[in-house]
Amino acid sequence: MGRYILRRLLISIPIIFVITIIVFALVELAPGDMADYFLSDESIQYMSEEDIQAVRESLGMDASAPTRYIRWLGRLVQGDLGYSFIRNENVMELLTRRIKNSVILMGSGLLIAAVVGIILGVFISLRQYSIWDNGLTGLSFIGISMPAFIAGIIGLYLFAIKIPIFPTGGMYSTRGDRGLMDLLWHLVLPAVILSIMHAARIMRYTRFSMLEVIKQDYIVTAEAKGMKRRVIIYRHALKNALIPVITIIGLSVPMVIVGAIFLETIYNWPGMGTLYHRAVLSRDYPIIMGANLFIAMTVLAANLLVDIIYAIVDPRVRYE
Amino acid sequence: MNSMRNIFVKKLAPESGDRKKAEKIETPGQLAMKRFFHHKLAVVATIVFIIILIISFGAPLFTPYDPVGMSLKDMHQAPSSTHIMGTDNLGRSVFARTLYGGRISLLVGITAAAISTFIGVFLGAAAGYFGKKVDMIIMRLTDVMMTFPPLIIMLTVVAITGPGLINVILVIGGLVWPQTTRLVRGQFLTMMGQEFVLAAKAQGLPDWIIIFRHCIPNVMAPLMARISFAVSGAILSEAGLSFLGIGIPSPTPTWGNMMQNARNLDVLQLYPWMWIFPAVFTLVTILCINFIGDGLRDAFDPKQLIS
Amino acid sequence: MKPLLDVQNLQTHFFTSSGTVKAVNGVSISLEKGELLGVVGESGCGKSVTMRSIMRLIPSPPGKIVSGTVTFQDQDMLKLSNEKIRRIRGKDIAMIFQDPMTSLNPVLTIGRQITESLMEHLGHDKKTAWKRAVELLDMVGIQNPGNRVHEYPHQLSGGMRQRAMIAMALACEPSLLIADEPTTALDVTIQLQIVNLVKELQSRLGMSVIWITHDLGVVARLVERVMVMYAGYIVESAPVKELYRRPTHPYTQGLLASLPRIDEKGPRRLQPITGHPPDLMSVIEGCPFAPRCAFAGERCHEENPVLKDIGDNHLAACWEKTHTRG
Repeated sequence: MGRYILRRLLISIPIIFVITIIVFALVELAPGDMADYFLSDESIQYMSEEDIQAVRESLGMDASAPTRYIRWLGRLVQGDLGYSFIRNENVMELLTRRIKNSVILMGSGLLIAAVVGIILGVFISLRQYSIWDNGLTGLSFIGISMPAFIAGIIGLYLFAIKIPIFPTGGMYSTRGDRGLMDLLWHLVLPAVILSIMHAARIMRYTRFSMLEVIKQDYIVTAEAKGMKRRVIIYRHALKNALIPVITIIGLSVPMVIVGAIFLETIYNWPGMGTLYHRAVLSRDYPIIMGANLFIAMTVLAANLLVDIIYAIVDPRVRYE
Repeated sequence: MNSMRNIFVKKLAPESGDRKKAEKIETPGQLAMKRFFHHKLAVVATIVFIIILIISFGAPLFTPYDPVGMSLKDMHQAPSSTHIMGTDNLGRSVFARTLYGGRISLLVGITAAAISTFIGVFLGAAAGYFGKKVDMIIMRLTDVMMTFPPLIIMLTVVAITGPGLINVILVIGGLVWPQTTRLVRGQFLTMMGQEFVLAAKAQGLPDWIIIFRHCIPNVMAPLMARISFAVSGAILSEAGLSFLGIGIPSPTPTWGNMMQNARNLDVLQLYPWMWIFPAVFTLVTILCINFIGDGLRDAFDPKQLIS
Repeated sequence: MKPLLDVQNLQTHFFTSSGTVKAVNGVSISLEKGELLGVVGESGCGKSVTMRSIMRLIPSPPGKIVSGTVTFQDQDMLKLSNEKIRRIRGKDIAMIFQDPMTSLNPVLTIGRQITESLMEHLGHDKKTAWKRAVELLDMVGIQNPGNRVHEYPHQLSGGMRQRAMIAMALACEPSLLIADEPTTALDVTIQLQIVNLVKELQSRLGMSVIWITHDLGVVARLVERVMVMYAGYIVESAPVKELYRRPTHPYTQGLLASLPRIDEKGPRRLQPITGHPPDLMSVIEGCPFAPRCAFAGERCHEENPVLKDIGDNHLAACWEKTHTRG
């Protein structure tokens, strides 16, 4: 088990390297360079060529791309992502603060999706071709095809404007106690909407997986052993059926991140998504780079976590 | 416990039906067509999608209004007999903009999907056919690409290159190929050991002839379904980018930048027709294409899993 | 004395969308306490469906026991409630299956799969059940049972898995063990070990065994009586020695002729039976074996023969062979 996890970790190291290269190279593609941000069109008129060169040197822009990559990587290892062009704030601090808020939204979205998806999937798999099965399978089709931003605006229109039971945005009320209940009240709508697409996907996979597992020989064995229906479903079938579902939940992580960017924008959630969106609009590259890096690492970590959970629940992997 | 017992039906009961069916021989293509038309939702979806295509690309035949021409006296009109979907904040017909916007959205979707399919098939075929180092490099590249959600790179790249139709098409097309690559590679790997490939190699045919004449036709079936999901994915990507104001800028209408209006709470609340119609068109189009893709997948391979 | 298991005229059909599959067509079995019975036939002949009908493990729909009675220990199995049937399964009648790899749950330890039966049917507490599980593994000849009990099915070899499966089936000391081709998926040497193990355990525990197989060779070493099934019918039934000495039904003769024998003098060609078993969905007129039978006469194509006693506890269903002998 330990060796298995170690091996998975070792495999990730070169991928992390490539990720940093891509994150760096993406921004390198940009026309002009960082110096442009510090030299407005007006100020350039009053500067000599040497002055401009001095600014470039002070920013380290005179070095070649590989040298700058190494320097950037060196600072990165020390947790230094530089300063925002626009906000003049430390990117690392800014990101950590915002990411906390995003994790609340994404985590609850994914949790709702997993719980609801699995419960409904098991429920309809035991009632194949019933009204419940047909109805929910049909609805799940719409759910899967429903992009987060459309669901987001429809949800906002229906449940914050037409029937104003939820706030139209933000994470806390401007006045009041700003306690946990206040947070939950602001969280419910975006989190539920974020979860819809993934709940639908997870439900369909769970249903499919349960129906496959129920056909297996060991289920007949359990029946022939005189086990109770409940035991057969939850001990014998569900444990096997959930193994592939774990992969699906893991694969949802990148899509949840993307969905969260839209929903944070729509619901004014002060997370990484809104920060990222504004950074993209204003070409604030240090923030874009930091956020890209964080997102890729999250996806990588999610994949790793899936592998580890797989090993825990499936003894065939564990003793590989 | 009925649903639990299906195993017996499969295992013990049949065996008998197969022989009868074998008498009537149909080509795989005919069988697939038949199965596709059995999939009622897919047929309905195809019809609806064709209607959307016709009214979008034939937009001038269905509306007399100019999608970009402003008319300040007609601002914010609710749907009526003159403007069946109302007008927007610049007095432009929402109906006209929705139809003309469909042109752009569908165009982006189809061309971007074509680009990504081309890249995906090329890399997947190379990886599967040549194997070894080529495979290793391409697959690691795909792995890394898959750690970045496509929309994230799209946002970064569009931020750098600037918005615009061509940029959006190239960025979407250039980023969503990894899934196609994986699919094609998998298909190629199973084909490599088969006799027809070995026979072609034994004849001394050049690799590119074997790939294009002998292998690619066999990949077409699963690829069809993949392409339809690529189209719906690309339409959504464009809509998403434009919704965030980083895709195709106004005044050119697209469903995405029309929905962008809804980010303004006043518009969301007071003038819902400005965003509801493009949202409905996007949803219906995505649903139709996904149903068609589902129908195609079931038609060509009833066993494959939902993705 | 009443038999332990008495099956009369059992008929099980599957009503599928493409037609009715007549899998079992009037099978009668009588099994004494402690008896070893072999049921032989090709795959799809209805032997598994018969056994699963006895345990009421037929999926419904589409399967249905159309007629007949199954009496086990004086209880009418077909009339019992689902809950009562569940209490008999695993406790009084146990089953082992063909492929121990797929028949054991991959994510539960061997011990868990044995103990759940003990706890459910015998009301053992956890500690006693696990202790008993180790004893059972020891009984079926698994080395180091104290450790094996905590292992997962994939960690055992094929033969070990089948032994674990047997331990699981015998956990509650059932009075009837139904073994559905338990050696088919195993190597020949392992097959013999399993056969000997079941034989030994049978004599020790005094249970009855129904051993289903398509291999007349395996069955000869184990059972006392053999029933041959074809297309959902029993076509011959006899004590095992009697059956080998004078196989009467042409199908049984064919099965024996296709069997390699060590005791034979000189070379002999194995003779496979030509043709296919009939489509169980179509209406069969006359003897179901007639289309493949070298001896079939006119009557064979018109009327289905009934089982006829030809002496020495030997029954056969054949118009051509029984009257010349009987």
